[in-house]
Amino acid sequence: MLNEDELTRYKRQLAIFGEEGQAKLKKARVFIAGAGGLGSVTATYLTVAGIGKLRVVDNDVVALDNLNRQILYWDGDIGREKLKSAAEKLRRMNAEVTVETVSERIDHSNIDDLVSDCGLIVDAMDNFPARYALNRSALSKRIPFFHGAVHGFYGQATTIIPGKTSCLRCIFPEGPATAAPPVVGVTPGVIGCIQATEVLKYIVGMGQLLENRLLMWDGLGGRMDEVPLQRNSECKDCGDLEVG
Amino acid sequence: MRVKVKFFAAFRERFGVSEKEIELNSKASVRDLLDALCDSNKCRQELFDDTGRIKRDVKMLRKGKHIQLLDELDSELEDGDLISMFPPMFGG
Repeated sequence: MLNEDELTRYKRQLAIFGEEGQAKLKKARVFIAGAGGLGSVTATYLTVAGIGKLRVVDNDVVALDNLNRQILYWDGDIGREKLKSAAEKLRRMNAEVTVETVSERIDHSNIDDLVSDCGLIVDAMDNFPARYALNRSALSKRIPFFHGAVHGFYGQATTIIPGKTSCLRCIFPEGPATAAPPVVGVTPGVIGCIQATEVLKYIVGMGQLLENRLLMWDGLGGRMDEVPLQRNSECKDCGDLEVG
Repeated sequence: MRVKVKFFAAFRERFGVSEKEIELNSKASVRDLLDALCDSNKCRQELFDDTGRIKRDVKMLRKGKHIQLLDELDSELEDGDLISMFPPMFGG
């Protein structure tokens, strides 16, 4: 049940979600992998929307060249652990939300334990090896996985439902060669908001998710488009997964 | 047969259009499509590596499936196919 403060705090969205929907958000436990550009935005909007518990995982320290896009960190945070700084801000935004932080580098060996009892995974990583670990964990736990990635003015997002949609490995059988990509801060703003929107819709059960659709944001051209996707039985990560 | 190619992100800039319809012979493959799309060595160098394989940073989906999980460059095309070309983004 929602308390009086919550009924007031969420008044403008209760008209959309109803008390039942808002209660679902309050019960939800969301795993956010990464506290960088996408992580700052998804964590912020999921916090103000009233998600019950966020578990944020990162192991980085705030650097000056993070500040053009990682909006949870400000000048005075340089040199601090990102998680400490992020948790402090998120708790000040909404004390009703439980923010858990885990300082770890995500890989195949620890991801299942890190996700633990969370029911949804948000991809806010900056590399494909970690994303593949998230993908595998989401598939094995059969929980939704909200992918996002950015480059310059361009971004992409899709929602992966294990057993129903293509998985990340179907779309990208092989990751790209890695190097720090150029990023304009507004791009993780756009893509992170799309990911957070998908999370809210999934939990409340509203609208159409980005299932089997890779949304492509072209900030330079000022347009969105989508790539149709299909599950692939040849995929080494989800090819054997029973249809759900 | 005719297939439609949609270009995204850097490929939209590279080819200067968001989509293109290409006329190909029947039984054409992805390789034939790229030959038709590429009118210069520079273009081929951007799409293929030294061994003639498509570069790992060139993502191509035929009807929603990555060609690497089909028959790569030998993947056969059909009339009316939609091919999507985009670079992988990995920043967060």
